[in-house]
Amino acid sequence: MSELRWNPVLEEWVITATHRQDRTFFPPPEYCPICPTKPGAFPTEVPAEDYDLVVFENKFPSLRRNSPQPSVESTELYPVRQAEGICEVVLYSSDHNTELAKMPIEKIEKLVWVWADRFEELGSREEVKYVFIFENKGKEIGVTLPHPHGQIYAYPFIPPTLQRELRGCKNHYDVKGECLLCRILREEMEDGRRIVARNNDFVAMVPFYARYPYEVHILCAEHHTAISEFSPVQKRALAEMLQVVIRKYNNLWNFSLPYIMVMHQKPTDGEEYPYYHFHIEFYPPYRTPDKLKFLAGSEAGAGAFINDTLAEEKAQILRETEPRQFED
Amino acid sequence: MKLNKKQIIKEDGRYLIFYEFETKDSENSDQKSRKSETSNSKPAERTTKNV
Repeated sequence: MSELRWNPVLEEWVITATHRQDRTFFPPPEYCPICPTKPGAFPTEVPAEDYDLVVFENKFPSLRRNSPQPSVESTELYPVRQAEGICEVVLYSSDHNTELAKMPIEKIEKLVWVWADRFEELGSREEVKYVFIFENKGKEIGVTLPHPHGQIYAYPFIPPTLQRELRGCKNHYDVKGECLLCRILREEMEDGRRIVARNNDFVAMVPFYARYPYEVHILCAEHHTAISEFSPVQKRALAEMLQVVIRKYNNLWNFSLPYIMVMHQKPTDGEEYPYYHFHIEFYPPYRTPDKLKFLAGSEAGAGAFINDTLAEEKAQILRETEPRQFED
Repeated sequence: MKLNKKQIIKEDGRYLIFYEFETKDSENSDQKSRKSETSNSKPAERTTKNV
């Protein structure tokens, strides 16, 4: 059962998805449900002995096509909607034991092309207002299947964090007449202290307002609002920048660093968003090699993040960390 | 790069898409020639297109 319940206090939708309680939880490697189906072995989600990149609808979706009627009736105080939308799983590799950082650049480039294709296809659906591409990596983040994969949620609404970002960017655009993130990028490049890496088309930096110690944002140098607008050369450059950032993360403390990676793009609700700027955000949960940053009282209850570190210092550390894959 | 898709429908109605790719040789050489000077260093001057 899944449905959308309106929170009139915060003015946001909450997705209830009770069936997800039963989803597969850390199965033994030989029973990984997203490995290829080997001859004589149990059938997995992928009916093939090998694959390059695969996308499929999540078996335990929060949002789905032809979603069921809500379990409770809508009232004036508590509007309820069907959880209409799509949840996809993106399989990066048929190799159970690899990860994005270990993959050749050509493979990551293919993934960028797949993301662009999914953004276009899902975003063209009438009911989809926002296509959210993300990856949860590591058990510390709550990942239940270690096989390398990402996810895509096609929401029937614009999620709250994106609404806030869009509002902030529009306010700046209306007052100053320029894209806020173009300005941030320009001033960060002039300053240089928070830059982590750059190539011809993308810049990676720890944002001035970082909430996590090793938070990194990747911004496109040219103004674009979505991944589907990138040229083949820009797609390649994005793949290169992703590889650099993730390898720096892994090489930081010589272990595979967990992270949440999210892609922020324009909504797909048919409106124009010239003031918005494509970017990717990484939130690693570690603040030292053996200490996690928890979202506690201030963060979870008040929405006020406390970062125990300085963005300038962490950017310097990441800048000086080589983007080579550590040996494991 | 050219992207090809092969979609199948599972018994429960969910779709699954296999992605396959064709890479043109000319694209490869073009991309390699621009291949990135992804740099670790603190930027001394503007090098990106719009900054």
